[in-house]
Amino acid sequence: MATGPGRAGDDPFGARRRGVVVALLVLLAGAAIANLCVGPVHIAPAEVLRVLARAAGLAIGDEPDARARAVVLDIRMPRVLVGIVAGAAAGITGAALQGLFRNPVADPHLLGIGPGASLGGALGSLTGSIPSAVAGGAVGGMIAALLVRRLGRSRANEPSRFILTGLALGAAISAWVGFVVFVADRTRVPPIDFWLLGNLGASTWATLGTLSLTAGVGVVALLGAARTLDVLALGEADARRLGVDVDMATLVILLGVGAVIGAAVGAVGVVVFIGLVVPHVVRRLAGATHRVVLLGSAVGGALMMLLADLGARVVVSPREIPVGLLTAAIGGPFFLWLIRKPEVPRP
Amino acid sequence: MTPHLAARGVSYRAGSAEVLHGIDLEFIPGQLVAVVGPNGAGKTTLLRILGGEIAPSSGAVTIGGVLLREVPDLELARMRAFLGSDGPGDIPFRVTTVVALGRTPHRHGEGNSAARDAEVVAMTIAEFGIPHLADRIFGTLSSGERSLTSLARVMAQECPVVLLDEPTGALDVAIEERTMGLIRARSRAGRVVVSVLHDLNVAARYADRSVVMSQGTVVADGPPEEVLTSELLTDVYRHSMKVVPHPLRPGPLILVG
Repeated sequence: MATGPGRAGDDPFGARRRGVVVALLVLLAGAAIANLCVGPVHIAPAEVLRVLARAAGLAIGDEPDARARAVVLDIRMPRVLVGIVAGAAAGITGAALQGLFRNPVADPHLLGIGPGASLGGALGSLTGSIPSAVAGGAVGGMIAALLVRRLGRSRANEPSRFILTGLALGAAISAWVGFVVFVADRTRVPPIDFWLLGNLGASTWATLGTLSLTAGVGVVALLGAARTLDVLALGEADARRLGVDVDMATLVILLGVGAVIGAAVGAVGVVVFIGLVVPHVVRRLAGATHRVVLLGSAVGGALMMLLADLGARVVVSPREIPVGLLTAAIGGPFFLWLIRKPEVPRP
Repeated sequence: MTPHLAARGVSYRAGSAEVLHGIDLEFIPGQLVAVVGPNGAGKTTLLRILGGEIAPSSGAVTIGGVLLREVPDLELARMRAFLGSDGPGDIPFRVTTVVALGRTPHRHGEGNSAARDAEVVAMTIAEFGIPHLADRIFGTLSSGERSLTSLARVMAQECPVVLLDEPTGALDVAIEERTMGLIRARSRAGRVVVSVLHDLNVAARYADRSVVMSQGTVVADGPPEEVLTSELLTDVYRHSMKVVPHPLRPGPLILVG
């Protein structure tokens, strides 16, 4: 991994890249604490920290209140962690697809992979179990990714064709998601707004386990492809000239994206705009080489998800609104602002 | 392995059109070969076949005595570097990073290390006179600066066979002269260098050998001062040309009438 650009020591910009990722991690920790404190029952940050310390086996300060302990550990903690993984999934998959297709508006939800994951997740949830919804989402995402690759391939192999193919495929698959939702047993399959706008409210420790395991495999594949994505930035022809097996790399990256975003969709539904917005911000702050863009987008995606979920829980408290309303309401205008200026990342 | 490149009986058809026919060429280390000829003569197609990017319809290319199509991709990428005429788009990477991508085939290679990669990248950037651009974003460069960066990337690949399609098209006269000197130095150092060139005077000045193509065949092959004659060029380009002794240095000067 540590060859060429991005390697510490010969790169005067490595320090800033690490700084950006560390700053995002600090903000993420702050957002996580805030999400643990805020809700219908307000819990003071000190109390939250005491609960967390005890859970980690450190007896610091007074014994925390039992109810606070239950709210933090049983309800809010799994929701925060699922939000972190799902947000990271959205961020890293957006970054990977933008790199693969060399197109700033590539995103799994626009490319039909999100709808495929929704269909897989809805079918998986017919069994009534969370792990099968997550696994179904991952399988659906991977199948949709393969379909986009197969249908979008043309003799010219232009990236924009993949995007158009994905849009059409996504619209068609979304109709089937609706069909499954409206025909199936409503106590098992989540409602249509879950598949369109997402919701973290049903997150449990079981969700977190399946989600982390499934998405983790895909994330490893995507991080392993970081250097290949850098070479692909030169274009397919030059990547081949440099010995890259472009077809194999495309397959691995698309399957990785399908598994990662698919698992996230199975767990929390479709939360739009994170994968579209976050990688652009990371590139502007930390440069465009893919190791930092993938990692930074994962952390940034998790941060955006937690902030949006915080909003979703407080704007009409005690009622909740779908988290995707927040990410779209904020992400949409922000994305418009971002693409107004040509993207010139820092070195 | 001798980095020797040869095409034997190479023909190429695209649909019903025969783009190349019956090409027999041999390239030896130490020689800078210019491929010249009018648009549509098949120069780029020949270069792409020599580089293993497209397979000939008949005939074969060998590299170091081995059939090109039997060389695995990664090994080929360590043997031949290729500069395409259509440069990459607005890559959002620093120039140093772009040049370092040329080291890709050598990653995990025997005897290679990150330190060696960094050294080659820095040396190549210095050689091509672009240290002042090292931290600039490639996508913000002028077309000439992009050409130099891409050329440095291809040279950082350190291959015994170097194929260049119009390497100096976007460069100003002075930088073109300097750059052609560097390319010639690379061939003198024992590499096979084959370059498509549009500027006949550049070919005449720097190439050891000119391969003149017309309508998919090689119509002349030899030292520029022997091959580039008024009659041949007028015939091949269907435009009046005159070759006179260069007034400022030895060698021919090609005038377009």
